[in-house]
Amino acid sequence: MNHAETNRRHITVVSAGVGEPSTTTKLAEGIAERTVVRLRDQGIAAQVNVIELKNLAQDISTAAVSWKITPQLQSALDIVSQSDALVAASPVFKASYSGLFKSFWDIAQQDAVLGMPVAVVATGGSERHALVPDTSMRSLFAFLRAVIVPTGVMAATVDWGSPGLVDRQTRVAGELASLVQADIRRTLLAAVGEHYSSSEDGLASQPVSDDTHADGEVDDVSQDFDFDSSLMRLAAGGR
Amino acid sequence: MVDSMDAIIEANKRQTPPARPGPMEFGVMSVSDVTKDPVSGYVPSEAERLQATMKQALTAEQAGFDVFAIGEHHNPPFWSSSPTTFLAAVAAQTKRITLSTSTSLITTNDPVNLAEQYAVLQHVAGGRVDLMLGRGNTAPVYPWFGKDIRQGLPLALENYNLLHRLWHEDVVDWSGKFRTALQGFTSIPRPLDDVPPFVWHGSIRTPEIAEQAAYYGNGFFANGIFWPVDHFRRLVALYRNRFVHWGHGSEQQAVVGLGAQVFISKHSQDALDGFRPYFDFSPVYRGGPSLETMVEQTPLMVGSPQQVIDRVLEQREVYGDYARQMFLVDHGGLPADMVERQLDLLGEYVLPVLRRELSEIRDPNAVATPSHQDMVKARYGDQEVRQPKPNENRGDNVTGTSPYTDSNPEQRVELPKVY
Repeated sequence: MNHAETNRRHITVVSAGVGEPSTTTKLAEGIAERTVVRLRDQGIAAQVNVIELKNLAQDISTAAVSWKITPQLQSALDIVSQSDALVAASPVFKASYSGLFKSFWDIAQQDAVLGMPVAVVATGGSERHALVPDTSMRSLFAFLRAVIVPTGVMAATVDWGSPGLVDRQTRVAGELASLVQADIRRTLLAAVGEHYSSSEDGLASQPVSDDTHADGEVDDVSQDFDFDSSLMRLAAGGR
Repeated sequence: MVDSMDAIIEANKRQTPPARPGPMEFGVMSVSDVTKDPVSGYVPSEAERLQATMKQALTAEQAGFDVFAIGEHHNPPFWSSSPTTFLAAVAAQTKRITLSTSTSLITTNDPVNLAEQYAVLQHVAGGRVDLMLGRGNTAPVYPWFGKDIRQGLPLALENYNLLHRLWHEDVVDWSGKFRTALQGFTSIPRPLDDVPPFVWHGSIRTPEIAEQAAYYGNGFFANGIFWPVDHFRRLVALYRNRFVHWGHGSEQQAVVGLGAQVFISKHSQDALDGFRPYFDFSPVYRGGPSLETMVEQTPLMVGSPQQVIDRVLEQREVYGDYARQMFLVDHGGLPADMVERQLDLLGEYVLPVLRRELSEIRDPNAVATPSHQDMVKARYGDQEVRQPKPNENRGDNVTGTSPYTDSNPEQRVELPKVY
């Protein structure tokens, strides 16, 4: 998968919903799908990917206590870091996003969503949780240096079926689509990318392209790296 | 800037590469942990473990391994705080085996100290020495040696840049960020035959370390014990690619080493049963995925000799032909007699088969790790080997710009600012 080449935009839902089907996932998908429609209206091809963390629960708990990242988990992490925008959604458990949701982001690379447009979405049994997207999720994604859209969405049981919720989904989709259309991530990285402290694990945050031939040889993996960074220059004898 | 880079690449291209086509090496590496045997409950003393490791090094040579490497640690439950002292004793009792490290800390050690210690070891061991540089993963060690872990990577990179110069230049003027400047400094003794030991850069995740190994034409060692194989494949591919970029030769001439942990029995189920308690109580593996999963997905090789042989040959398919395979055998409380038996089994049933099979399928251009003799040959060809002889002490214990009888007295000291 190489998004840069196909130029198709990928809007990814990361949902920690646990039901089957999950209202959390459904709420986030609604936003992602509306985002795709907005982009298509502007002539930009886009598609939705959905990552349901409940299917990776064992992989995530394993990775949380060892360094072992299963191929399934790695593939989810790769999809996230290569996305053009994210809809991050969690049910509210005990006053915040769920532990599963947090564990996934604990495992993700430091710069997995650096400069990426992200919508924060939560569901809960009571409207008393209304500020969870803004007080809990926003700070998490601020730490991860994402570009968080202005509107947070929280749906309590009473909100389902209300036109207000649909309005908010549409508004968030518009915000997300605008940031994708403005190519905000690329613009940001081009402008100030070198000033972000580079994570040691930069390798994993690099786009994984289809550069594997049948014989297992990899060609030109080096095009994924900036050899003019100060650390790379220091590596090459300190020029 | 670009001109000087091009000049470096052109100069590299003109040099004879020290690594020549040759067979793959097999070695044993230890990290020197002193761990309770979870089966018997016995905890060896530091003295017992140190002596047992010494014996294992000698057994490794007898069993047919090419390399023995010891790690460096500065806290319990490890014993190896001074690898060169230990390896010197091993050198005195062995004839053939190459002595190496897994790893030597390039962060918390002063490069001046490393240059001196490994040069002495190289002389003592008659050239049977190389070393692997690593950053170390024990955070508290940094302040014990006056260093800041937040600067770990730039510290490692700068320290090696200095170490390289100390071994390649008689007189070094140097200033950097992390230690006092050097003015007209000569690291003694000069390396054996004025050819420094071969250097491996070890890394599990850092592209800058792969770049540094490639820039200098040194070896790159990937100990891929946890991460998905694709991560390491990309890291090794990056190193090979940049090795070519810097003019040191083809991708096959890049010197790649890989690590694995191994435990064998004649029958695969006996191996799994025998190793399981050491896996389940391992400080590294416990709480994680099952033994079977780790064996399937990482270079943890537990099984029959044939299974281990197949796993090593698989590594070759993933990474291309490589120069050195190191095995961790003695980790996690395995009792000394069991380690000895493992070395014998590997020497009898695994190494000969691997050597035979590899001799048929290995790319004829794939290189062996350069030995001291290879590097002497690459440097001097048929010419006389330089043997530096010091000039007279001028009485100030400082030799200035011409420490040796064949030094150029015209060379000037630059006197970088000392702070």
